[in-house]
Amino acid sequence: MPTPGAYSPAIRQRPCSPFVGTFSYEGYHSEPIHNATAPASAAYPTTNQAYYHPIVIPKFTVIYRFFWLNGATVGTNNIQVGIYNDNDAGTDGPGNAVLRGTSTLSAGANICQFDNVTDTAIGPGLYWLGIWCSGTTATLFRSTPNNLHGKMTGAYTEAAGAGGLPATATPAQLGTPYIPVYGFTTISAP
Amino acid sequence: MSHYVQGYPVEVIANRQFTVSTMNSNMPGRSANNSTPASQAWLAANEAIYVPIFFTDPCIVYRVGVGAGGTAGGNFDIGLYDMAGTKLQSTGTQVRTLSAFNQVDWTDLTVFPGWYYAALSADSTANYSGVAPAAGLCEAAGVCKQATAFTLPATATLTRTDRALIPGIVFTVRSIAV
Repeated sequence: MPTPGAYSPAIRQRPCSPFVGTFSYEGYHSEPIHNATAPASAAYPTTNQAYYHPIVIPKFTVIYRFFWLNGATVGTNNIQVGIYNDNDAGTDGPGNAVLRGTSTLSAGANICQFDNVTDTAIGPGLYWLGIWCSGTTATLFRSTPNNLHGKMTGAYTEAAGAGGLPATATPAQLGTPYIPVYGFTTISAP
Repeated sequence: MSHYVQGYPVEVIANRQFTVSTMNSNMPGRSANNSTPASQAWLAANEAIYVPIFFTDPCIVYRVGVGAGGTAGGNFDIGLYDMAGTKLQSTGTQVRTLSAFNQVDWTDLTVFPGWYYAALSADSTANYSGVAPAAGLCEAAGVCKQATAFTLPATATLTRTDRALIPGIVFTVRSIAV
């Protein structure tokens, strides 16, 4: 059985994946797949709720585009993706936003949707991806591992309100695991 | 009395493997699907799939391979591209042997650390080994495709995939002498 892709040899750090996300090497969340099931289409759980998922960036890289993987139902709710610093306030979880994308109506069933943002360089370290949705009709590909495996991923959540992802996160521990497929690309195309 | 020092090839220390494959557990191709690679029908005749793959250390790729399913016939072409879509090397058309791991010794290719695209093209829909997550999951892993790409072109026209297939493309490596 493959092991989760969280280990990087000390000899030479691996560069960031072309698509950095919750299920890439940087996101740890392949672990729920190994212990549960592959992501599938499902409705967003709660209106105006934000979810935060940790990623580890091993080297300087550039964010070109945010992306998320739409499910079967699109065109009814807006989605926004961003990335946050770790622990600005000295507590666990995400802190201030590094970069937030634009709240965008979901479009394109069962394919990735992209939000082209200003090219933004980030250094190595722990960050938090954030995702927000304006309703519960839109669907995303997501994994819902059991609570134990979900807590192993260290995700947080927040009732963010209608304004989308906040400038500063106020994270609360996640009770029900929810891990959508989303993140950013380190390549400008395709 | 001299002490014995175990010598490890670089690929054992860094890559921890003698092959670098799209099916390695820490590659994007495996990030969204943990199922055992199995025989999968090829997408369409003459179509190519490009799968992001990384090499941790400088090494020499001296052999490439892919598993083939039980249907007879067809030819394949395996290649390695840089992230801009420029072909570094390919096998050219190779006769496919059914129900076997098809290996090709090619000219030694020195590869440096970084990301590449592993490419496989086939001129029929005969089966090859791989995994078949939902097409969107393949896309979210950075997998690309190209129609009418047999044999593999000098410059790939990379389009995000809408196919539910990640083939198991294998590169056999050895250390660079230092």
